[in-house]
Order: sequence, then structure tokens, then C-alpha cells
Amino acid sequence: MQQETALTQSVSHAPTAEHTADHAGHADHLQVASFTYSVANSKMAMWLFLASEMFLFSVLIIAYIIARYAHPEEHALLNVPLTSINSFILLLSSFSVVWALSGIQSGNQTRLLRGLASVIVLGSIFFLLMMYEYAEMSHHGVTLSHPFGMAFYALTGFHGAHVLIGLVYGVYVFNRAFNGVYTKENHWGVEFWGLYWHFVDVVWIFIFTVVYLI
Amino acid sequence: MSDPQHLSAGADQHGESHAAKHATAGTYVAVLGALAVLTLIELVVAYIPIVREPLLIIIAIGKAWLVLQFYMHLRYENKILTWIFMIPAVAVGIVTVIMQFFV
Repeated sequence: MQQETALTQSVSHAPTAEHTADHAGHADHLQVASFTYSVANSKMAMWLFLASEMFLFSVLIIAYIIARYAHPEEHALLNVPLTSINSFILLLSSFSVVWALSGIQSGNQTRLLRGLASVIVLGSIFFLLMMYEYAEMSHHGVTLSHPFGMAFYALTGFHGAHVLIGLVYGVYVFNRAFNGVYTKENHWGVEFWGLYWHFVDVVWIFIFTVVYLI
Repeated sequence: MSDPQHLSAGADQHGESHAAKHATAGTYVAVLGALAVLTLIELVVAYIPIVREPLLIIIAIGKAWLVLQFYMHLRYENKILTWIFMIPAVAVGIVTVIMQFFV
């Protein structure tokens, strides 16, 4: 961190007239190095954030397990076939992210845009099917005031909120991609958002197993 | 951060060589296929009366491992990122398993 600050400060000072070409070249090198540190730091920050998110989800999963064994009859109301389709949709959206990323890594803007659009469409379908399942569950009397419903909605709703945030963020990334911001050399924004989206998928893998299959 | 360049991707002087270290498109397709097959196996295992729960958890860990290693590129990153994620993951897993004995 201190190194990054030092490097950034070095770069931010505008070169004076007496700077030679060697100095300019040195400044360019520092600018690249500064950006490298910046990307490295933001990547580490994202992983630290994702690690902290695990604790939040684990608390909700434990609360759900307690409620699930106390109310087995409500658990039987869960729509496993619909959620299985939703699982495949989310896995496919994760694939679309890496497909888009590998596209821009090889300079293919069209693949980037198509991949990002696919993620937004698939993520939206996932969210809408989740809302449909909620309507179905509440029709069967499993509401927020029910102990099982409270644990179920808290866990899946918290995950759904992450999907929604990922979608809004995805639209922002798509807009930037559409405006040609990302290039073969500079596509860190896509990868950064991709990390978040994949994490949402990883969490869903465990939610699907613990909530719907066990 | 001992080696920040290895954490970075994209617009750096090592951008291209770093990108080359990422998985190929073929690997991404293979991982998607593996994830789909594992999900189908999960759906079958869910109806097995015995050792169902440990099997389902193992398959879920396997699926998560595939996403982390190949889609999130942990396999190609500095190992410090793996530790940042795996230490809390293992801690959370242990606590969740312990909680099973109190349900």
C-alpha cells in the first residue's frame, strides 16, 4: 500500500521542463507500475470482500438448517424442479462471464458484448423465477412471519439481492463495453465484476444443495 | 503483498503473458460441462436414502472448487488470494458442521 502511494505520488507530480527523455521514460514506467499496484490492490480487496461475505451467508445457512429440521413439512413444499432449472441458468451465466472475458482478452468486442448481454438475460430469468417461487411459497402459507419462511426468505432473499446488485453492476459494465472502454490490454473492469458474479454462483451452489436437496 | 504483478491482470506491462496463463475457451466449456453433469448427479443422489447428505456436500464442494479454480482464475493467481478465500471458507465449513450436532 505504501509503495503504491509512493509510486502514485511520483507519477502525479507533473514533469518540469528540465526533465529529460530518460525521466519521461522513467515516469511512464512508474505510471504502469502504479496501475499494476492499483489493479493488484483492488483484486485483493475484492477477494477480501468475498471472504467476508462468506461469514454472512454461513450464518444464514446455519439459521436455515435449524428451521428446516424444526419444520420438515414446509420443506416439502419447495419447488425442486424449478430451482434445478434455475441452477443450470446461473451456471450458464457464469460461463457467459468467462466467455465474454476470454473474448475481450483476445480483442473480440462482439463476443464481450454478447457474453455480457447473456449474463444480464440469464441473471434476470434467475431472479424472476425466484420471485415466482416466492409467490408459490406464500400461496402455500409460507410467509415471512413463519419460522421456516423467515429463515428461507432471509437466506435466498439475501442471495437474490446479490444477484440484483450483480445485474445492475452488469448493466453498467455492458454500457462501458458498448462504449468501447474495454480493450484487449485493459479489461480489468470486466474481470472485477466477473469475480463478484462467480461468487454469487458459488454461494448458490451451496444454497441449492443445503436448502433444496438435503 | 510480495508480488503484486502476479495478482494483476489486464492493462499492465505483463498483460498479455498474464492473459495467456488464463484458461482457454475449451477449458471453460469443459468446466461448464462438468458443472452440468455434477448438478445432474446431485439430483439423482438426492433420492438415495443412505449417505445422501455427505455425498451432496462433497459434490457441492467439487462444483464450487471448479468455479473458483477456473472461472475465478484462482489456479492462475498468486496463492495469497487462495489463502485469503480458503481460510475463512474452511472455518465457516467447520462451524457449520459443528452446528449440525446441536440441531
